[in-house]
Amino acid sequence: MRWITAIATALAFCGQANAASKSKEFTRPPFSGAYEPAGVDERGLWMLMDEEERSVRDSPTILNDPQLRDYLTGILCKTVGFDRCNTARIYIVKDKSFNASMAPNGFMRIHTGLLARVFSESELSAVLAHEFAHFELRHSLGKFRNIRRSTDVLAWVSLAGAVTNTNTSALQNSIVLQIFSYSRENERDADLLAAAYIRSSPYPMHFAQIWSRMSEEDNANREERKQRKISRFAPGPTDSHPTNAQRFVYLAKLEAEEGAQEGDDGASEYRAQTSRILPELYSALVMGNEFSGADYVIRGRGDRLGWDSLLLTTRGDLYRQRGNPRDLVTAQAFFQKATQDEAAPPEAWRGLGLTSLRIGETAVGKTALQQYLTRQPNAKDAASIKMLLED
Amino acid sequence: MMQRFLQALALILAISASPAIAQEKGAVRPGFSAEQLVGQKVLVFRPTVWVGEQSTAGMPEPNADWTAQSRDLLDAELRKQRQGLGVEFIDEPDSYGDDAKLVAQYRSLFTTVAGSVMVYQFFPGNRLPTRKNKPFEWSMGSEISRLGDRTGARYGLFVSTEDQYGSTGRKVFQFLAAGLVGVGVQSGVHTGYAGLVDLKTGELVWLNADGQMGGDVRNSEGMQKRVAQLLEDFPTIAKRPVSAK
Repeated sequence: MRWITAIATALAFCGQANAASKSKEFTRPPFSGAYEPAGVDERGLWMLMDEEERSVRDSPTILNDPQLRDYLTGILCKTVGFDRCNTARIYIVKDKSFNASMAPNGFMRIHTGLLARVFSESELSAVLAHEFAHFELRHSLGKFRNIRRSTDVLAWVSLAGAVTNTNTSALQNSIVLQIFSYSRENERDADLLAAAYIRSSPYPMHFAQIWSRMSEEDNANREERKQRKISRFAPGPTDSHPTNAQRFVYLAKLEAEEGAQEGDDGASEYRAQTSRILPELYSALVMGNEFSGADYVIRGRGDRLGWDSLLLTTRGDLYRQRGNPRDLVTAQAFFQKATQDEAAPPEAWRGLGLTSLRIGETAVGKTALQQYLTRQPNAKDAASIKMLLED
Repeated sequence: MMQRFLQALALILAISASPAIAQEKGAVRPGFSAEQLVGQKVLVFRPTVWVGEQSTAGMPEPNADWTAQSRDLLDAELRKQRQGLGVEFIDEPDSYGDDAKLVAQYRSLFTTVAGSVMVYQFFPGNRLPTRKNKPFEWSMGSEISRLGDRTGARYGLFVSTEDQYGSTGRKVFQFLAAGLVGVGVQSGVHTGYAGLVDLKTGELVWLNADGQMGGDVRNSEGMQKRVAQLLEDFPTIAKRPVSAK
């Protein structure tokens, strides 16, 4: 039992130490340009991430588009300042999930799924600022040390329990759950520092709405699968992040402050820059298995940034993929609308042709497929399309 | 990042007793002989090196200095070994663009294939139905010849080592766990493998893997022992230099 008391005291002490350091205001370390990691732990983490970056750099999962990358770097620079942003090296990862990350060494990954789900520079700036805040606050290092400390204590507690034949499961659980609450605190701190960055940037703060949309997307998928909708305000004990609802509330409060909405949100520029690679951003979502969520995301962009022929084609493809008879009719309508634009992508005519043939409108279908081949003679599927045209 | 920490945590929580499993360590492809190697160029891919400590609870703690030092020692030791092996080693050249992508993809593929060999061939109790009683025949596909064409090498050598030295806390924990409750706790992880691939056919001609390697990779004597273990059974007719085994 003496073991347990000693450990409980040690834990209480750790708790106090945490509380004491948390109450201190975070001051940005002076920016020196080329920070070098210090100490075994930090240098070790940097080494791991340097190796990781080496392998990711040449990976086929990276979307190699210098123009887009420079555009994203520009948004980060406007958000966190031109002196700091050069510490980040941005890689665009072909991944449909809503995510971005920044490692301690400045290795930043932005998923195409994130670019598909935000609709202005200001919204993107909020997520980039959040990741940059993790970087600046050195959260990876803190988390690494927290987990090591916690699991070390856990090991000793379990051994002490075994030796003294005492049930320590409650204490063990609380140690494990502490790791998650530590992570949630990190996330909240990163949100708050991100908000501070945005306030000193030319962008208006549009952070809260992202989280309400994430909830709605999740609910759209849940409804489709006849699952119970979840709208939790309090996080579960093993959540690594605050809940979407929680984040919405405290960020909305910050956004309501005076002056927080001043500035241009950069939506039209964002639309122009991302339209260029729209199929790349949405194809994984379209091909995925979450129809309602994907449709929610595509509709969101259409409603916010307008429906152009590219986006209509994307939505048409989504419905054509699901392929119920009613979906084909819906998809055909989207393709029809898209093909009214002379500059529409050739895939719009392909979609129109394929859906029309399946519905039974053979003449319309064949004309559209002819158009597709004329516009894209070297299409990968040209041979199979020609077969459809033969009879 | 978080996910990896949680995975590590899950592993630790499982408080693994030492997973010492009797396992085959290496194999040479049937029909392959050392004569085929004589005078050939071998492309040495940048080795994978990870050196650090193991926390009391078993969490890996990377150490940048040890890793950098170990990488240098490994390069030097491999250089020393080349004469004894009767082959010519060439280092992986710096590459960018499509070449770099090609190298990166084959590096990943090798890691996957070698992992499969270790899990499904070297451990007899775990053989897949399709691998049962099958000879050591694994291939990365003949497309790999693009690497051979570009570098002029006939074979490619991959080397990988991972060392987690038990921290003082881990050693004390190991001692107490054994003494007080009789539970075996492993302190330290020392694994490594090396493989040779035919850059014309893509065939894996030799693989040597060991889950419990010797030699302290942080000094040159230890590295000499480690490399000797990594290259154990390397098909060669030339006499090998005396190792500190």
